[in-house]
Amino acid sequence: MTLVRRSFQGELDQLRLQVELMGIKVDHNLERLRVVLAVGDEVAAAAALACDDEIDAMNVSLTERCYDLLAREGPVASDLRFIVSVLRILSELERVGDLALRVVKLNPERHLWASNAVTFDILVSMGDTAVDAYRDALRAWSAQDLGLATDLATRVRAMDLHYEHLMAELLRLRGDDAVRIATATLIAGRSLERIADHAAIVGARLRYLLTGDPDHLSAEVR
Amino acid sequence: MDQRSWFHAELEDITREIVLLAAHVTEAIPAATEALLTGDLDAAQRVIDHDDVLDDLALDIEERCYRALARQQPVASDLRALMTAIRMVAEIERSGDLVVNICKALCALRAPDLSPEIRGVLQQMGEQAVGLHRTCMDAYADGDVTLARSLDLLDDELDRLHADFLEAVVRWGEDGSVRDAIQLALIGRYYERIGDHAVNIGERVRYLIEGELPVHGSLS
Repeated sequence: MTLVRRSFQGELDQLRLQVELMGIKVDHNLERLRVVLAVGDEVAAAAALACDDEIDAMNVSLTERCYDLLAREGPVASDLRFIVSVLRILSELERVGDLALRVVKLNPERHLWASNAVTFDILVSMGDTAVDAYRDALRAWSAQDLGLATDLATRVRAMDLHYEHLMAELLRLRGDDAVRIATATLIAGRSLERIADHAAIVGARLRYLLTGDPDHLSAEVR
Repeated sequence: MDQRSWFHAELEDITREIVLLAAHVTEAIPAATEALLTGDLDAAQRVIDHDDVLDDLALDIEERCYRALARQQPVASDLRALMTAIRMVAEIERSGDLVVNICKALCALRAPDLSPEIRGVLQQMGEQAVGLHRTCMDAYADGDVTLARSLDLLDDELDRLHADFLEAVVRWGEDGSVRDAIQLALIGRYYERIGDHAVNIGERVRYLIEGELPVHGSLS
């Protein structure tokens, strides 16, 4: 391996680690989301807001680094696939962060979620499932694990079952506040469902990166 | 044709394809709104069926971008143009998916005869969403950074309409069904997200022209 090539490879390794670091920051915010969901902790909500700014800044900085590498190194084949995949995965991580923040910002409406024990339990389970799916995605990325990526992209997802269950239970709600509770719960639930969607997209993108098979790109088109 | 000429011809072609992809979405938004307001399930199904065309076109454009990237190894503004194209395709395609979601939610409504208040806000949301989508694509096609910057304000108005809409749904839900209130809440959210994607596209256009990446904040 030439010196130039070795140096470029080192930059790609650095990039992979930096993406992982951004992923960990998003993970911290998902944990705060769980706290807000469970107990409505305002300190956790404020911390999530501050952390999201760091996530956004990191996204911009890493995106610029990708563009710089593309312009400077003119990568081809698997190196090009890697950088383009990083760009797409950065978007997915950033959106997961945004969705976590969206739920955190609904904290003032938490009393509505919590007012029905059945739907609230499902919502909490959806939060857990979203975090689990996201962590699988992050683990697949850090280990560049094709098996885990394939599992993420193709598994029958627990989240779909939770979402169907939530919808069924929301339809059972009765009383003066039924619609208010249903809409508030639904908006939070939908965001949690989308976090799992983005985790699956990371899996699909990783499959493309590791196999070079463009058919995996179509999994991102929903 | 030398490599550079080929690349610029390819880039122009990709831009045309992106504008075409976006035009499909620009037409689909009012079609979905009209279907909602008239309760026309056949029209909604036509919008749903047409989404396959958008998906195929989006994949085709993205693969062309990768091929151009590998073949030419562009730098500076050419690289920015190609990267912008890749990111925009995803945003436009997702807007198309949201229009499909609106139509699917309409099909799930039990009583599509909506209250005048809800109909009024829905119509305004539809108009605002299509205005946002059209504005971001005009900004892209014309390279107009002022137009791209105007999207934030337009999106604020859509967010305000969305808040009004949710309140109207809650009021209506007191007499109507929870099932339909849920579908309507989802529909409102889909319009709002079309606005978010338009703002994202505006940010990409600003990057294309100014060379600086704005910090994304459309959902925050």
